[in-house]
Amino acid sequence: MADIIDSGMGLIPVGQVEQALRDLWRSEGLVGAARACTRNLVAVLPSVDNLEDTIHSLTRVAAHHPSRMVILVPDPNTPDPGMAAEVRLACATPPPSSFCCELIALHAREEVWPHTHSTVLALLLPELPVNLWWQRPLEPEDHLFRRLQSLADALLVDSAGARVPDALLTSLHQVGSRFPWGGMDLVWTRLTPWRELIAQLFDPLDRRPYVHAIQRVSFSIAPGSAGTAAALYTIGWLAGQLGWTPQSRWRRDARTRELRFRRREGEVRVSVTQVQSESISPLVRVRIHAGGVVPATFAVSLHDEPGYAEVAVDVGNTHVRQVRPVRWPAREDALSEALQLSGRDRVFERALAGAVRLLKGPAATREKG
Amino acid sequence: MLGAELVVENPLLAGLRLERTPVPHVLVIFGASGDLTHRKLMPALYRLATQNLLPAGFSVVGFSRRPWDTQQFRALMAESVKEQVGNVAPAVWDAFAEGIYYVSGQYNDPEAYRRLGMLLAQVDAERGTGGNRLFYLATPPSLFPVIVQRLGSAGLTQSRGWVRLVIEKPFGHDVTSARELNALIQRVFNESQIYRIDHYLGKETVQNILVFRFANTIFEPIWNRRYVDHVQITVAEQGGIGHRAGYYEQAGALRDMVQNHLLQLLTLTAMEPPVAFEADDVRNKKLDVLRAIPRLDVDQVNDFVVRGQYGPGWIMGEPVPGYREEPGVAPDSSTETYVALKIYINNWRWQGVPFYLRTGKRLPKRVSEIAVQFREVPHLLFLPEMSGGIQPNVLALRIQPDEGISLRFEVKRPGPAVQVRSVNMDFQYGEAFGVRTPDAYERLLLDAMLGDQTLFTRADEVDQAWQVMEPILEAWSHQPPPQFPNYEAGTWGPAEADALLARDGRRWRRL
Repeated sequence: MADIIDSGMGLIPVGQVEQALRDLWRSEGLVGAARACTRNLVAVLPSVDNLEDTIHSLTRVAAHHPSRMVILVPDPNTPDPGMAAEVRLACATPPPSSFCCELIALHAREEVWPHTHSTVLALLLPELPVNLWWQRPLEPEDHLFRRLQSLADALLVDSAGARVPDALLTSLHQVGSRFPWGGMDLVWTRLTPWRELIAQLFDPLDRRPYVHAIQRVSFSIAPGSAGTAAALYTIGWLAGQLGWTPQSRWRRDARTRELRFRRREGEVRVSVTQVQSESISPLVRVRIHAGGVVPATFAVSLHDEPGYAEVAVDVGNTHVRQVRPVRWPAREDALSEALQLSGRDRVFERALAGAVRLLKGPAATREKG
Repeated sequence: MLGAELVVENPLLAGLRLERTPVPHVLVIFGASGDLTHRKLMPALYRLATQNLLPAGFSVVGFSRRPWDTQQFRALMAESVKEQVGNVAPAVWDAFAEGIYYVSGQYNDPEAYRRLGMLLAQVDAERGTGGNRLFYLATPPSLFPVIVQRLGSAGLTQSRGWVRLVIEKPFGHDVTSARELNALIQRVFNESQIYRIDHYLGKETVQNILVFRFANTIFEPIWNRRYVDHVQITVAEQGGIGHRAGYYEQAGALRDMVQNHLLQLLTLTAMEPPVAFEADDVRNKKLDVLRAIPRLDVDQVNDFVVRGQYGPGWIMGEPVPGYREEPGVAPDSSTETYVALKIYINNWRWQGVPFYLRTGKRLPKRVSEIAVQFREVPHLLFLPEMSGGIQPNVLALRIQPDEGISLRFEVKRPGPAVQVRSVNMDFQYGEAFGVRTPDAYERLLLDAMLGDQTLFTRADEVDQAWQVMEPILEAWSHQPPPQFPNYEAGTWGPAEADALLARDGRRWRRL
């Protein structure tokens, strides 16, 4: 966790931001020979109420991503001329370390909100990549979004907090290609431990054929947007990587969903059931049945002990059980992982495309394709 | 099972960090009751399990003379892991321990190997390990030959899966013994199945030498005789010999450290870029460096090599005994606990550039580094009163502790006058990445499981390294016993080591 060093000046005119930051570095003796900085991050908030949570998340990624972070805050109480800033440093190690993030919260009233992009442009550090973390509803034609999109390399969203996650996925699919490094959903980065466990099930050479002989997949998920998004991405991932084509459509409000896919040699049935769970992880269980001369069943299920999953493999007479750590990363950890990307994540893009095809249904897929 | 003709890639691994996950297999540890198994191997395996780097079905079979059974062995391993790792997750350990087995037997008893074979077949059937075996010799080297021979005669080196052998150093004690051991092992295993561990190669910063040199464009153009004045490689230990007197009395610092660890650091520092980051490409280039080191004449040895032995002294405010007072050490022992040597590499890149190597026990601090000192500027613009004596640039790769890289360069002090001073630009791994550096054994075990030999030494490397040492060993064996002890514990070694560099107008770095 980083230490926060506040300028104590409250809101200042935007024109004084750079000087205030210089003063802050100097006042803390943070004047080393080398100052690490890897990127710019622009976070756009839905409300001033989200500011402290966002600062909390950003300071926690400071240790891994020394950056300049500009937070756009819609704030009706911003003094004239309607735009003002507050500055802080978040240092990963105590002074005189120079391993710090610069946090600039740019408050703006509604009438100047569409013009904040030019201020952001002036505040960005040169020649460093820009990640845009869009926390508002993702509307591709939003004026500010379109302006910021032109200066950002990558887009980050978090469908775990979305009111309608499937709508967010559809929008993300639509706008992701506008960014040089594409879009990214923090739910996808949180799924990495689960994807690793599932992928490893099929890694031994003698089990690899089963990956193309999957007949049934059963998901148990927790209710809520994170569970929905996690299931959609995982199904989209399997479909994208294994070449499954949807034969049915994802129905938004069903408690249990039965889906059908066509694969090269046969059909795959996928069921998604909502279950109550005490765990923070919205994915509770993934069970995969594959055919063959000797059928096989693979399962990854949350363990009774929080933070662990039980991996079970049953192939003929071989029954293997293993307990492995699996976590559902907090928002800041997911953000930190997403910031490690420095290019398009093609696997994510295929998973997102697969999820969106499922949302639109087979008719739309045929029309498109 | 499905038909083998359908074997394909695993598309679900695309884009995941865990692409390097081994297939299910059995790790058979000979010497399972020993210190290495308890302190290093089992804790490393547990850490790999907690990082999801071991496959489901992975199993361990311990083999030693102790009359234990599987339950006892599991309990002892649980204690070892708890002692070394601290917090152990019961859920992970319990599932991991289900795959731990034990065979008790004499190392030369064919019946014990027959029982081992039966157990391996049972594990294959129950845990899907597919006949894949990794044999790890964590025994004293005197047992290597008999274990290898018995494995061969019991048919355990033949399997429907892969079979590999991991061997701990020392790999021989001179050229002849190393060649004999190589020949013996190669009668049973192919070279591609043999993994000779030098745990220094498992250290992150050692691996980073190659990344630093070959993933950056700015260093390689100056990494040669035109710009480099000399290189210093230091592996300093603060500790003594502990309970290893029996081994150390026979080995000494030259065999224990220089022949393997220091020469490996030297080869990584001096090698040419390999064609690819593949095991044999890298090892071929390392081998070229060893081949380019001129063999000393026996009568040159004292001009190039200094040996020392520590006497009593103080370290970190505590009195420590001299080497000859250590338990198990002969009171008139002539075993060296310190070696400093100067090495040249006769090739286009390094002709005339000395590489100074030093290692010793009971030195003031534990530190390992490679320091590349560049040449002085060809013409000094600044008057001595301005510069205060300009220091040459030094690039230091710190291997332990505080792994990192520092670069010393000259800058102007702020102010109206031109005053020059040195600054260090320091990069620290721990701070930069904020992650735990994996233990060397974790990395090397994982590589052996994956079949990646890049970080393991090949037979011809071992042979060449012994050839470099051979004249030194021969010269020392013919010289009268040295005047030991010749350095005080807690100091930087004998005065002769300072003189070795002073004769060339240089000095050791103050670490």
